[in-house]
Amino acid sequence: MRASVVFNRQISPAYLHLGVAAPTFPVSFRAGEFVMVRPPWVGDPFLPRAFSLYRVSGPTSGGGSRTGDSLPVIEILYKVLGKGTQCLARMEPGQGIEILGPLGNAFTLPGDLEQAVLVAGGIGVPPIAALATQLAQFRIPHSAFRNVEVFLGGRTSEDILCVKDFEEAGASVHITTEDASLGTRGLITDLLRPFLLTPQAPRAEPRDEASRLTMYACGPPAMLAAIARLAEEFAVPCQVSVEANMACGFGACMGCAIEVKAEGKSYKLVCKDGPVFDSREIKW
Amino acid sequence: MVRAERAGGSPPPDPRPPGPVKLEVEIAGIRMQNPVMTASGTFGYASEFEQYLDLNRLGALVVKTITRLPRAGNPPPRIVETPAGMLNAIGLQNVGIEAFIREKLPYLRKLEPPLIVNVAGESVEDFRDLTKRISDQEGVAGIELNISCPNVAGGLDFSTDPNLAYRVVKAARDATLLPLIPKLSPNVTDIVAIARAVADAGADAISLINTLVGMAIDVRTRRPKLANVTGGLSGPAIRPVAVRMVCQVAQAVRLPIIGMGGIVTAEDALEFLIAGATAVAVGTANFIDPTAPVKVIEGLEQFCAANGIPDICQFIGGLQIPPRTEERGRSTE
Repeated sequence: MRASVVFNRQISPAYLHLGVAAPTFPVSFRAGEFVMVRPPWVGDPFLPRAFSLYRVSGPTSGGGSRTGDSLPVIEILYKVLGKGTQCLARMEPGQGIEILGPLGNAFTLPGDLEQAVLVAGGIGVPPIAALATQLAQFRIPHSAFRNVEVFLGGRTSEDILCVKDFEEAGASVHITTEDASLGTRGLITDLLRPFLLTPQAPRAEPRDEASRLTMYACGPPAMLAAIARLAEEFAVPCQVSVEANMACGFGACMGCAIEVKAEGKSYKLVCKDGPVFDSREIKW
Repeated sequence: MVRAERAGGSPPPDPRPPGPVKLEVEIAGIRMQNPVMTASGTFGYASEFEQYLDLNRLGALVVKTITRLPRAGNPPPRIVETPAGMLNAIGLQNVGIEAFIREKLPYLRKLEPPLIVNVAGESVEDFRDLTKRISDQEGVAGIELNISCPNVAGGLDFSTDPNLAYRVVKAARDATLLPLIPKLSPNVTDIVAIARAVADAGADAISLINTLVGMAIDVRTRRPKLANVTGGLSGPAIRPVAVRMVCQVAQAVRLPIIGMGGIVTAEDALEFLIAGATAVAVGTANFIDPTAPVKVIEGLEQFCAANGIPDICQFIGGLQIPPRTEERGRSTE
């Protein structure tokens, strides 16, 4: 659908926050869903780019653009990494942009969820931040749901985004960076393992107890693989949002295959069967 | 402006013909409401697109290649973007012919446009059996033979050797009365020789072109960007090659041609018609804009209306190559 840029601002040296107004976009998206974004480019770059939804704000005034008034504003966060994001970074308010979505599946919340452990590495944070916001609305009286623990990791402090969102959602935030410029030094799993060993985290035994804690993760493939191993070790359910090269985003090109555990070779499509998978399903 | 010059005189004759533009074409007895089809492998089994466009507006539907047995496809990465196009090495991932007949065909049959089923075999016998099995089904208007998939071991061979191409099409011909449309590979020195071979074998039409074999390398890792190492190049980058091949074949073989390769707009489609195609297929553009085929149809209608052309068929094979004059030759000296 035709949309127009409302804002496109830098939030950290390599990261930008894009808002586009789209007339018919549903405001009530589910955390984990994504959109295909295509600036009016021709030729090179050629394909649209997939981005997880960070936020969809309802029809409000503001955003600093006339075009944004009274239309839902789709918000994504992105890191300038290649040709596509470089082009995107040059977009200015008022310019036209094509949006397709919301696409894909979403994170699921078990009815007996007591504790959610959210894990995000670098630019994997937008769907996790969206989930935290959704979980804040999940706090209904008399439900077993107690709290949200968030683990954010990155190379430096500049890769740590959305801390305010998590705090506003009432989550406890744990930060780790590889250069110790923010939080503790190390990888995200260095923080996560001790946490899973503490008494406040429901243990692996008995099994039904463990199912009340669910991990949700998004980040680089190596991080997700490490998280999946931890989840298996502690017998904790874990949902991961994965990334893949995509041409269409809706199951037609079959380009975004990911290998899953099965007899013989078997692939699922990240765009249609995902982007959220049970970590045990994927062949890491 | 014309009007202004004639002010005061009698009203100018309307350059546009009365009534709507006629877009209907016919390929090997398959009547289509317009010449715009979908290219196999870029349109799934149509249902993926139903929420984005009215499928019944299409000229014909060509669905993703079906093989005898289900295929898991190639390992990822399967696609990579290239300038004005993309490389793919999906590896003919599909559910296999029996599941296709059971699960996909009932839906496709309910759609109005003629359905063309695309099949690929690993042997001549495979092609014969697949053709037979498909022609036993109701609601199939034609069969496209994918003798040119570059991403499957052996798949390319059928379309790069005139003798093999002949044998495959002949075997399929003996197994069906339905229109047979071999889809040819551009990865050959002489496309006309292959086109002649499939025509001699009894093909009813020819699809031109499949993807061009290509490769892209990550300079940091020094590894190919595709797990399959090479892949098929598609998108606007290959359009000039496709137009040239359609033109060559149209002048040498008396069979209708379905032209494809990088069509995004109506003008792209017209290039193919003028070069000699009777119909066109929108392919990779479906990925970047699922409404692309409808935009091409509307664009064709508008172009005809704006240029006073009552019938789209007037474009077919209408290429005009100006004679080379000696004057021109001298002026460049």
